[in-house]
Amino acid sequence: MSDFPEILNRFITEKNIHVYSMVKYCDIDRSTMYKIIKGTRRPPSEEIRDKIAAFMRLSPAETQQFEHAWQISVTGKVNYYRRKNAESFLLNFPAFSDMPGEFPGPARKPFSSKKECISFSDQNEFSAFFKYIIEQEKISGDGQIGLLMQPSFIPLLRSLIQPGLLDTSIHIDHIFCMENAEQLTETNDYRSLCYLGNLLPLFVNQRNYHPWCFYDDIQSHFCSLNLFPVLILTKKAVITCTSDCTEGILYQSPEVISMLWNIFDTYRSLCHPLFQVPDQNSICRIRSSSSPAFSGWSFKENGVHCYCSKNTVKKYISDLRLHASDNNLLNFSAQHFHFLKSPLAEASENIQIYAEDKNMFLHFKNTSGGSVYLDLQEPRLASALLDYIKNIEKDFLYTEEENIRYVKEINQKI
Amino acid sequence: MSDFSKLLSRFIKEKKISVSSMVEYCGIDRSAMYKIIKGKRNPPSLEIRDRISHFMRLTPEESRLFNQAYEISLTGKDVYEKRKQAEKFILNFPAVFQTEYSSFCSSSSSERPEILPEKKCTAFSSQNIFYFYAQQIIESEADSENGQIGLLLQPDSEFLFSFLTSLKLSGSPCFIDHIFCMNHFSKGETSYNNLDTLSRLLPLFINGIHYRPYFFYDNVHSHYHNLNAFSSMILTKKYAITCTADLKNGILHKDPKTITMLWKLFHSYKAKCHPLFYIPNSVIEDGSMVQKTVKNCSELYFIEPEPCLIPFISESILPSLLPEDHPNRETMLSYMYSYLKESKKSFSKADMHFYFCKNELDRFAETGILTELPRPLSDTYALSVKERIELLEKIFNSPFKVHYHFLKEPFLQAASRLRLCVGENSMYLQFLNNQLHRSYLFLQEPEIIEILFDYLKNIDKNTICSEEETLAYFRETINWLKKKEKENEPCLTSRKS
Repeated sequence: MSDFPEILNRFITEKNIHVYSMVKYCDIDRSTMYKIIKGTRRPPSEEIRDKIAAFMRLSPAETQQFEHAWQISVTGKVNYYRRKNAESFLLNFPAFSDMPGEFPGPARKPFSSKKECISFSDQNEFSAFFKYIIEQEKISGDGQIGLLMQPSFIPLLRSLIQPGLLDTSIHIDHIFCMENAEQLTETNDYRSLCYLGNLLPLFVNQRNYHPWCFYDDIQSHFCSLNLFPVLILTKKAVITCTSDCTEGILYQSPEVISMLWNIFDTYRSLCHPLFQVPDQNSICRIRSSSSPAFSGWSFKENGVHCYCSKNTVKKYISDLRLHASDNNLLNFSAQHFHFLKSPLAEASENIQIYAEDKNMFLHFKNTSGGSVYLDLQEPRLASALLDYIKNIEKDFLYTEEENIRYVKEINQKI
Repeated sequence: MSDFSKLLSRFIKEKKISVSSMVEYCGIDRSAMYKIIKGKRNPPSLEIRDRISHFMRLTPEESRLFNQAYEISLTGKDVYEKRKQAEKFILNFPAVFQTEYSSFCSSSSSERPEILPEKKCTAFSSQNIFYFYAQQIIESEADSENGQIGLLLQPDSEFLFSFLTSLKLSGSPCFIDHIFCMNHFSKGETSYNNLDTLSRLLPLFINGIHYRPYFFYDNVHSHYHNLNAFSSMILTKKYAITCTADLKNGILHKDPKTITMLWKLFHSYKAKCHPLFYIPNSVIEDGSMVQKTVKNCSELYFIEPEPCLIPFISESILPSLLPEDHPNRETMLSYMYSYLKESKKSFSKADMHFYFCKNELDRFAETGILTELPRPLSDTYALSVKERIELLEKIFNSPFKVHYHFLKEPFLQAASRLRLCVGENSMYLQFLNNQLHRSYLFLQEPEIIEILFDYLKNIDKNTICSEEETLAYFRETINWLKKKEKENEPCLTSRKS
């Protein structure tokens, strides 16, 4: 049973709705109505939905619930929540997708720094040790950090971008697992998109960061009574711990460290890089002035479709004037432009996405204003973003007439 | 296309069989034959199968493959695989793998250390070293007072488990708690089956170790393998090994604080698992669990050495079975009365199928000893010839729904080692450990119960005697006993001679 029939049934029972009269009111076939109620056919059209809602005399809050459930059923649950996740990723960028948690307390040196192994059994100790070994790694210069853990532990990622704690001289490799099935978490999240939102801040903050991924069932791989699936390695120390970073051991013995780095390197060789940095040529090609690529969110499919803010359009048109040629202007009219309303308009200025063929390029500014380009190598993540862009809700877009009026306005001003 | 029709088409092609002649030979409809060949209808009857097989002049190996494909098509691949697993489990009980272990002991590996290192943590990156460390720390734990061993790993390592099976105990009890993962995929995944896991664990009970397995469900492969850091662990009171699932890379710990932390973690995991077995501690507990099992089911299958005769025992014999000096004799006796009563009740409710050994019936006829009774009882009293006759005759006019079948090869060997009782929703195993103590294990895992139940219910009819055959032999036995009685001859001579 999908969500829509569930809520419909609830209202029918709660409100003592007489189905037969409702059939009459909505003017549809009796058996069709029963199929809708039982969920054995697709949810009805928007029109019928609204008739049903009117007949049941729904309050505004109920109407909202009802329409929401309808939307989920029409879109499909996975699609619906994946799009929601894509939206919140884009809206939040470059902040972490969910807010809570910084590591409490400062770095703490293990009470005897020479000890070969020190166990811990709470998260405070873990975070103190973690900060300590990262600081040590920075001091040593030319450092190297290895992470084998899921990018869902925000406090840890947050501490990696803390100002001053790390710089570009330290190479960070991060191995993690991507869900191998197209499925949602218990909280209806599409995990890979949450991961993406958690990783990008490291690029924004100019870390020398390299994520690698492999596929598996995350829950059984990483959680559910696994001993120590997490490895955090530096040149001088290693932490192994449980998936929630609560119980674990800090090692400072050189032989242990080198054994664990061996494991880490072997694993890394079995993974795919999540991103590739595109070469200058392809960036130049995409950025060429005649293409609206990287103006907001765009994809190529029978010409380039572009979703962007009015500001971006204005800039784009005035740029075209600079290279004034009729060809370019002709070109412009052939493009499919869609103007975004706030808050998507702002979001499209924070991060630009361009999809062509099988590649998806991301573009955003780092903290010192430089441009970062990434070629997203993970196909399902790329298609999740693309699916969102292609299906942006009408409420977020200006209408065709509004677009034309705006373009004319700008043209006149220039 | 089914396995059967695939193979059949292959043979027809390879052997250039003329289908129309074959149709005539088999005496079936031409279109039916074509449907069989194309796999468009169910495989034919056994008789037709054998005719086809005969007409194609199959070699023994070919006809084995042919019959196997026939069976797979008939039952479905999934069921077929599961039944094979069950058969393997029963026939190989108890699976002890001595080979790998001894070969390791005799090999003189140069990289193997001489003694356990004194350091707080020592890394290793070869399986040989893992085995050495594991062996050392487990042995020293088994020698110590009240040994405690914790295992968080899959029972994949034949070395480790054969070592544990042959572990010498000092006399002081040694407890091993073992947490492992049962696959929760029942379909498709044949590479890892839970019955295999079970057969690897059981030998530990035979060794007399206080072994307690606990399990949780997950996907074994993603849980343990696939780029996981340290998913496995061995714990003793003084040492701990944390390592990768392939037991190659890991760390030996000797730091008391670390070991305390790991034990704590181990216990918190254990609390989230289910015990694999319920293990009773006394004869009375054994008995009440057996009855509980029998009571819960409407159909039960038993594989055991001797015929089950308990419900036919008359109450008057009970006091003579119990030794005069038995502690709490009164309590025990009243328990025995109620047990007998309960058994009779359940025997008239559920269908009971007993698969057992013919020679054990002979033995009972010759000696009058009810070996199915637990130790002190079976040793105390032998039934007189007259009592034996009375008991056996009751079988023929009983209200019980019992079905007796003699086992044939290959089960005779297995049945002498293992007693197995399986109903639709519960089961137990029973065997003698190496101190000749009878152990009962009540298995708690539904899928294993289901597989074994399905197997015994559909047991290959060629491996057992029919009910009529078996009962005919019971009659013969009674007649033989009557003859002996008449001749007033003590039944000391063996029946066969």
